[in-house]
Parts: sequence; structure tokens; C-alpha cells
Amino acid sequence: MIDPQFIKSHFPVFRHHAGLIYFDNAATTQRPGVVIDKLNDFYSRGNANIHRGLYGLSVNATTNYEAVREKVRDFIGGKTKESVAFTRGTTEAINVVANTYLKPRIGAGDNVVISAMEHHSNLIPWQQLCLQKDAELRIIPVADTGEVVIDAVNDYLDRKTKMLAITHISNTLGTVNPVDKMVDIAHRKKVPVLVDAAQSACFYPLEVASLDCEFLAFSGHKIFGPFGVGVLYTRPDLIEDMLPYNYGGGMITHVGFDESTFMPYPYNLEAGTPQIAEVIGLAEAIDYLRQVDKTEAIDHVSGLAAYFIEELNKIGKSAVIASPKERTGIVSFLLDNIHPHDVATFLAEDNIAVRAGHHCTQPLLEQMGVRATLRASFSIYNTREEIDRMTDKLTEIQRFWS
Amino acid sequence: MNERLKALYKEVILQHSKEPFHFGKKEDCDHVIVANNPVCGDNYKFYVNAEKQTLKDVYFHGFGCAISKASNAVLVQLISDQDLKKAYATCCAFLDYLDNRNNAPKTVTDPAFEAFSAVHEFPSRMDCATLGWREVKKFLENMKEVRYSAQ
Repeated sequence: MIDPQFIKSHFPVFRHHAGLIYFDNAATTQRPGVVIDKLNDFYSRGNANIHRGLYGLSVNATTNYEAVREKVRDFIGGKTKESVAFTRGTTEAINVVANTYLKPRIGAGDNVVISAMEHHSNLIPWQQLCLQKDAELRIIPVADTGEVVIDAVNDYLDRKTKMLAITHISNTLGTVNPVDKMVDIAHRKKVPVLVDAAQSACFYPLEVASLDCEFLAFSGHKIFGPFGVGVLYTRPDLIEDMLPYNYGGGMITHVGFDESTFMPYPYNLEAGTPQIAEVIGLAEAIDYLRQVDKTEAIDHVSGLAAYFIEELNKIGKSAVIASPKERTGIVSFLLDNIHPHDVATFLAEDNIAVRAGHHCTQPLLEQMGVRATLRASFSIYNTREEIDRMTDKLTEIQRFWS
Repeated sequence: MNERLKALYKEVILQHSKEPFHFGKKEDCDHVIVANNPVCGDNYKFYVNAEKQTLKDVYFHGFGCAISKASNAVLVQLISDQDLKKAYATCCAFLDYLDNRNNAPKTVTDPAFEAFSAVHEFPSRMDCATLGWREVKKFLENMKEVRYSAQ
């Protein structure tokens, strides 16, 4: 069983903000002390640039940085550590795939398929590429339940489809997509798949080798790790197709004034000095997550979501957006006809952190017929008592407003 | 309900937001001013008729929080039937009134501004209160009558 109070004791932010109810985990999680200490430790005891120094500090920094690839490989169930590239985050990882892998392979009349529930970061890179190349961006619809219409996926793919880019979990609705089925459908039509795992990497087993997706992306800061570091996984047979993204130091094999040659993937994506401390901090977050049973964690956060929905339904005139069969610990909702920003301001006064707005999914909300929602997103340090505090407050807000 | 919140959501603001003054679409007007906040999704249009350098029948419509809606209602109320220069001065005065960085006593205020005094305490809501005013001010700056007088 998850013991949220015990877990909470690992996160210094809750010591510094007694009474903080943090329900904005889909935006970023808090960090455990061990991750914060690791960053401090690197800068205090291990600080040096990697790959270039012959002295002990640099050699150790390089070893520690490179060791994280193996740790990430194990975390996502990959086959080779060379398939793991470090990026600034999910957004950059998706941009890398759009601009280095797909750009040379897509032309006029081709298409890219995404779903209507994609975060802007898994929409705009494809949209802009399609606009440049006179290609078509196809959108698989989302039903009123907040689920991708799985039977429709096949119909959207054809011989001209160059990529299916799909989120594992909707950051707005909390829907868990059957990505394994989607990968199968796409592969039957020889379409490569990118999985946006930003919301799932924390607790959901990714198992990229058996999932067999071509690409997968996630961010460190949503899995208790540092900001500014993310992961792009590329299936080993495709890594030679991955071209440099940024040019500069660190990613070259030879440089002349007229031409240069470059390191292979993943090093060709890590130009300049990378986010060394953050990568090392990410390893610490992965180690922390290893102590957490994933099934229990999923049960905990989706259980909190179910409990919240149950309690919210007792408040008149509230509405939960979407009702997917499989939901993670993310709930989008409305209270009466009070604007989400007003509700969020009231909750903030009571030390309850939620998000209000479009959650970087404007087209999805338009389709669901709302302009903005409140979103509560739970993690393993959240409790039912905290949810009770929120629902009490929501009742109070509604009374004040009427 | 704590006092800070009661100060932010004064009765007058709730009233304005529930029954805003001149809230409606008037597409057949001379000018439409768009006020969007991409961060939060607030989305308003102001419908303006400028007749002999006077703003006539200003209406607004759109989607946003109570603070932005109430603030726009007050804006529309104050600038309707004002001449362009006065309307511009009113916008400047309101923005100056809410400007946290400027601690100097405000030279021009209007009793209607006071409803928004507590917004100072909520920096995250400053954009809500000022969005419409900033866009209308920008619009007026592009009118040549105002441009000359501001020089």
C-alpha cells in the first residue's frame, strides 16, 4: 500500500509549506530531497564539463552522465542504452523527431496522424511540418467519453501516413490510451509511432521493447526529476536515421572550414554542454521511483481521482469533463458557471494548488464544448483528506457565488 | 471566506460579472477590438462606434473570469459617450491605478476603479483586470486625434 504521509516526508517542499495541498502534478511533480541533494552534490563535489577533460572530475562527470543512459534504458524497458538521447524535455524530443527524422521523409500529399487530445507539444511540431511540406495533419476524433475512437484509428492511416503521434495519457482528461493496440494498428500499415509518455512515465510501465514503438518521449520534471531534462527513445534499428538537431561542440567527429562529420545518435542530438547535473539528477529520480510499486501507485492516483469525482458529484452544479473507462489521477472539472480562474484563486487562498485554463489543449476543449476547466492531478503524496478539504472549499465557493 | 478574497470579489464585482453593462454582440459597429489572453483563454471583443470623435454605444462580449468581465463592464461604462482623448485618459488612469510598480499617489482616479483595488494583492490576477483596458488603450493610440494629443 502507498503511504502518502511517508512519501510526503521525502519531499522538502511540504516542510517549507505546511498545509500545502498540491494537486498540480500533471504540470510538474514536486521533487524528493534525494533529487535536490543530488543536484547540490554534483555542483559541490562533482562539477566539471563532460567528454573533454582528462582530469578526474571531468572523467567522473562523464562516467556518471553516461551511466544514466543505462539507467533510463532499464527504466523504460529498452534494449540498448544507445537508443536513449537526452533532450530538454518532451517538447524538444518531439520537435527532434519531427525535424530530423520525419522532415526528409515527408512530402506533398503525405500525412501525419495525431489524436484530438494531444497536448500542443504533440500537435504543433507536426502541424508546422505538414504546413511546410504541403502534407496533411489528420486528427483522430475523441468521443464524449474522452476516449480516442479506437475503431477509427485504422481508417485514418494509409500508405501516405508517415507518422502516428499519440499521447499515452491525456494531460487534460486523464484518459489512459491503449497505446499497445494503437501501435499494432499502425504497424500493420507500416506506420511508425511516437508515444508521448509525459503523463505516463512516472507510474505506468513503458516497456518500449515489447510495445515496439519507434519513438517515445518524456520529461524529467514530471517524474520527480529536475527541470530541463527529458528523454527521447528511438528504436535501435532507426538510430542511424536520426540526424543532428543542433550543431556545435560535442557532437562532431571531425570539423573543417568546409565540412564536418558528426557523432552518431544519441550524441548527435546533444550538441553543446548538456544539462549534466539534471541528467544525473534524473537518475536519482528513477532510483526513487524504483522503491515505489507501480501498480500500487497507479491504484493510488486513479483511486484518488475516482474518490474526487464521487465527492464532486455530491456538489450540485458541478461537472466532470469526460468519463474514460481507464483514467489516471487527472480530473478536469467545472463548478457551476463560475470561471475556473475564479475558483482556482479561491482554492489558492486555502493553500490548494490546482490548474485552471486550457492546459495546452485548446482544440480538445473546443471539441468538448468548454473554454477552460479546473484540473486536479494527483500523485502518491496526495490523500483523501486533502480531497475532502478541496470539496469542502468548492462547496463554500459555490455558496459565496450564488 | 477570508477577508482578502472578500476584498477581491466585492459585491460590486460579482454584480458586474453576473449582469455586465452593455454585454452583447454588435457586429455592425465601426470597430471591433479583440482582447485575448492566450495564457488563460480569456477572449473578448469590444464593439465600438466612433462618431465625431466620440465613442458611442460601446458593447463587449466574450468569455473570461469574473474579474475580467467586471473590469470590462466598468471600462465600457466609463468610455461610452466619452470623446476619444478622454477615453484614452481614462484607460491610462485605470492602468496607472493598478500599476504596482508605481507607488506614487494616483493623480486621476474614478470611484469605479476602487472595486479593483484588491487586485494588487493578487499579482496572478492583474492581467484579468487590465486586459480589456490595455487593448482599448492600444486601439485609441492608433486613432490620429489621440496620437496628436499624446505627443
